Amino acid sequence: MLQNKYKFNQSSTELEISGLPDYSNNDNKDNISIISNWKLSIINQPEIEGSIDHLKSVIKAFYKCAALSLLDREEKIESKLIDLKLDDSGNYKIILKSTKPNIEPLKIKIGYAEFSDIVNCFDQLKNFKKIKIDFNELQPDIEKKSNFSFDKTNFSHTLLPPLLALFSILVFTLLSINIFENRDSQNKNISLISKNPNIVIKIK
Amino acid sequence: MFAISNKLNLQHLFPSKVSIWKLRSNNPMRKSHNSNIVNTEQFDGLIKITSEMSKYLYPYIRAIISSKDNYINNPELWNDFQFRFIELIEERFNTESIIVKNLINHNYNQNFYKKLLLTLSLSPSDEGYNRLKFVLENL
Repeated sequence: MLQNKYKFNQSSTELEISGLPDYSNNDNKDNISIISNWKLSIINQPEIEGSIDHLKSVIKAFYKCAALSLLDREEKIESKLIDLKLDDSGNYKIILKSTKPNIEPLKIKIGYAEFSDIVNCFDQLKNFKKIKIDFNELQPDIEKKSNFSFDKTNFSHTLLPPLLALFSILVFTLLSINIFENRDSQNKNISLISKNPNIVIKIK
Repeated sequence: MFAISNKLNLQHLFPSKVSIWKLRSNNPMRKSHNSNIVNTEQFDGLIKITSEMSKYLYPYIRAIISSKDNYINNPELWNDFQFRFIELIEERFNTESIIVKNLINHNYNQNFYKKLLLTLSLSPSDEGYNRLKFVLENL
């Protein structure tokens, strides 16, 4: 049985996917539902290849890193098969871990240009209907920024000052009401004429 | 921008060049700043136009990023881009504002320009559109 093979190119990068259609799912003969091999070639870098699990881990790590880089949240991405982080010199440092024993991890350093080429290659793969990979499970799980999330530092910096201001205004108002009430009661005129004509108040 | 907007069938959102210019003047850093209301459909339309434009400009954007990555061997493109970008900012933005002063400050702007270009280089596809939208909604 002949394997299908498709290539995706973007400037310095080429992604090659080989595999077979799944005839039990009534697949077209041009489709790839079972990926048997993949290869990522970057100019001036060693070739990267592996199993479907490796491919999924690599895509997931790159998608997450792309989203975090754009959000200015430079965190190290670690998984069983790949580590990816932006180093101080502004390069992406990739460590690919083999599942085979006694094989040293492959370390690669790429710039922003190669990084965007790779991500664009994966985007082309995602949009290509003949290769069936479930990309929903590869989407980056990044927490959305919520305006109402409770954060201790955020609380002390933004919410605490107006709360304290409101509290002091409240205390000041209560004190003022008390003082004015006391003064009012002192200034009230006391009448010595009783409403009851039978009672006579004598002042000595 | 107008031609791309027509190509994407966004005439109902941006019927003329003036409508796009009005949205551009929403930027508070511009000299000719006007506050106009941008609705969610227009916001989405602008992201689509940006994503489509970055598709055409990808080879140039990539070349400039690559020049910055290999600045010691190939500084010309990055220097040209930076010079022209600052020139445009000085021409159109309010240079009295502190934010604009920081934008054209050589010590501060390097990473910011690089990040802008990286954002555009990761936008030229359907997935890039989703990525750009996600980032803008979570800034």
